[in-house]
Amino acid sequence: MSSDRALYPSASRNSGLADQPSGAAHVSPERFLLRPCERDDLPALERFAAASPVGITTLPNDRMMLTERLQRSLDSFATEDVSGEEIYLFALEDMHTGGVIGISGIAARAGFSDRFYSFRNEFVVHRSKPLAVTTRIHTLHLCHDLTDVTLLISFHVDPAYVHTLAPQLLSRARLLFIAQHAQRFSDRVAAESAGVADDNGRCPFWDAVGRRFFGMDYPTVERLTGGRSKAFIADLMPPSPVYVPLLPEEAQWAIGQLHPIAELPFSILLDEGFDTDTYIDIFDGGPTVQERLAMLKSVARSRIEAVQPRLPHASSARAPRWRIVINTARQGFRATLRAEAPDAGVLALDAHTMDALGVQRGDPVRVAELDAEKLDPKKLDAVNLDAEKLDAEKLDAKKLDAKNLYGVIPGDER
Amino acid sequence: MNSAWQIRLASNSDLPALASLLPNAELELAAAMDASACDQVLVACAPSAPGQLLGCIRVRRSIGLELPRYWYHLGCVVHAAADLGLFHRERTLLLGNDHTGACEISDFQLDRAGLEAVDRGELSRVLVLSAVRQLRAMYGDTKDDIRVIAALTGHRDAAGESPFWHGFGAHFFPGDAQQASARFGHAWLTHVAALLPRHPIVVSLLHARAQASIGLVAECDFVWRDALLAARLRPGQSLTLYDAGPVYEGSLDLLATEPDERPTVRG
Repeated sequence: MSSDRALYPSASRNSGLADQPSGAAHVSPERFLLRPCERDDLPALERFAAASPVGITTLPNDRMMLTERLQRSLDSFATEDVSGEEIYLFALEDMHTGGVIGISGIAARAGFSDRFYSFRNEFVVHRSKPLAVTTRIHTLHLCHDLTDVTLLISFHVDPAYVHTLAPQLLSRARLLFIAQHAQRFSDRVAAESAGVADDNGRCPFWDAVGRRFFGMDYPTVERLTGGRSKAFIADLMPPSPVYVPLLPEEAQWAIGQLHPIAELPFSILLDEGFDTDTYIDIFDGGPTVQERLAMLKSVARSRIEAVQPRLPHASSARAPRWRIVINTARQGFRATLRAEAPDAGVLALDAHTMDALGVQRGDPVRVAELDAEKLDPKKLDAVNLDAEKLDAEKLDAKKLDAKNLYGVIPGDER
Repeated sequence: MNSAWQIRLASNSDLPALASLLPNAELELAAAMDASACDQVLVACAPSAPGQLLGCIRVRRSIGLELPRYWYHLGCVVHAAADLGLFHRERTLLLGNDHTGACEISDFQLDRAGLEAVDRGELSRVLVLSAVRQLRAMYGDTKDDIRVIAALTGHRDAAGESPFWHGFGAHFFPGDAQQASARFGHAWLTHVAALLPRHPIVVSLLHARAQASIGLVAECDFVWRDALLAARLRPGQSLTLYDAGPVYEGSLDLLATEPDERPTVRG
C-alpha cells in the first residue's frame, strides 16, 4: 500500500518528533492518518513513554521493553493464528509534517493467561429496625469480571494536537478496527484509566489500600509490574471487600477520580457510551470503563461502503459532519477523517485519499460519522472544536452524576 | 480472703442497688430477677449490711438462642509473593455468632468506693469462682463440653470513649452509641450488628488508634481479668463489638471453683 508521504513530504517523519502545526485552529483533519506502528516508530514511542506519568504501565519507559512491545505488535498484526495474547499499536501520523503525533493500542484479551483484576463498586444497604437506622455503604470488591475482554491501551497524543480532531481519530478508529476484525477480539471492550497521583507518583488510593499490603510506594510497584501481568501483585490484595467509609477521606475522594492527563481520552470514551461507574483500577483507583462493542456509538453507526474514485473536477459531496473512514485490511490498516458523505452504498473519494487508505475502486471501507457541528463550507480546513465542547459538557454532566452516586468523579482510558 | 463476704442470689429488692452498679443493664437485670434458671445474678455483701451491695456478677446459660449475640473473630490471612520477596501477615476481623449456646459470666462490677484496693482483687476472684460454681449447678451432671465466656471492657481513652468504636463501628452507625446502650441495654449490640460489615475487615485498613486498641483491657477491668485468669479462663480469638475488649474462654469442667484448686485433667 502506498502512503501519502509523497503528498505531504516531511524530513521529520521518522524522527519521532512531530512538527508543530502552524496553528491548531487551521489544522485540517484530512491530514491525519492512523496506521499500525512500524519499527521506525520506536523513537516516537520512546518520546511518549518518557512523557507518561506514573500509572501508564502499558508503555514502559525502557527502550528494550518498548522494542519488544513493538515487535509483539508487528507480530500481532501479521499473524493469522490468534491466541488472545496479541497487542496492536497504532501510530497517528500528520501527513503534512510526516511526524507521529499520537499512538494508541489494543490488547486483544485483558489478563491473557492470567487474571485481570479490578475493584467493582457495590453498595450494601444495612438496616437495623430497632435502632431505626438504614445505611448505604460503598464497598469495593476485588473481581476478575473483565478478564478476557478487549482492552484499549496506550493512548497518547501530542499536546499540540489536543484541540484538533486527531484524538477522535486516534481513539475511535481502534473501535472500528476491532469491529472489522471481530474474530480477533472480545465482544466486550474495556479501558483502564489513570487515577489521581501527584508528580512524584504519590497516589492517595494506593497509600490507603495497596501500600498496606506491599510496604512500597506506587512508582516502585509500577516498575515491578511494568510489562507484566498485574495479577501477581493483585494476588496480595485482600479478597474481602474494602469498606470505603474506613478509608481516609483523601483516598475516598480519589476513587474513580481522573488524572488530569486522562480527561481527553475519557471524554471520547464517555461519548462512545462506555459504562464508567462499575469498575476502578485496583492500584490508583482510576475508573475502568467497559461496554459491549456493538453498543458503542462509532461501531453502531459504522457502515460498509464501496469506494468509488471521484473525478478530479467533480464537486465534492461534502456532508455537514466529519467521518472516520477505515480500510478493511489488518496489516495494511489505515484510517483517516473525511467529510464526504456516502451515497447509496458508495463513497466517492479523491485519489489522494484512496492512496492514503490503500484502496481501489470497489474496495470496501468502513465509515462512521462523528458528532461534530456542521462544517462551514468556507472553512473546510478548519478544525471543528465544537465536538469537543460537546464532549466536555457531557463530561461535566457525568462528573455531577458520579458525585451524586458516590462522591467521586469518573475517568477515562489509560 | 475476706470470709465476711456473703455471696447470694440477687432478689428484686436488690434492683435499686444493682441499678447503681450497672446502670445500663437495668432492664435486663429486672428480667433476670424472675428466678430464671438460665439467667442469674450473684451479689456480694457484708453480713452486717445485707442490703449494701459490694459487688455483683451475672451468669447465663445458652446465650444467643433468643436474641442473636455478635462478636468479632480475630483471624489472620497471609499474603505472600515469592517473586516480590513479600510476605505479609494480616489480622482480620469477622463478625459472627461464634459463642452462641455458650454460657456467660458478665456484668461483673464492684462498689469501688466501699472496698479497699486489696479487697477489690479478692472479692472479684470470689465472685468469679462463685459464678463458676453457679454454672456448674445450672448444668448438673451433664457430660457435654460446656463453653464459658466472659468479655472484658476494652481500651478507653481519657474521655472514656472507645478509640476502636470511633475508628470502626462509628463509620457504620451514625447515632450515639451511649444513648443506644442506655436505651436498649446489652441488646443494642445485637441491633447495631445489623449495620456492621459482614465481610472480613483487614485490621491494617483501620485507623492506627483503632488497631492499637484491639484486645486491650480497660484499666478498670484489670481486677476482673486477673480473677478470670485465676479461674482458668483464657483470652481467645473473640472481641467485643464496641471496644474490641477480649473475650475470655474456657471449658466449664476445667475451670476452678475454689482458690488454689489444682487443675482438672480431662480423662
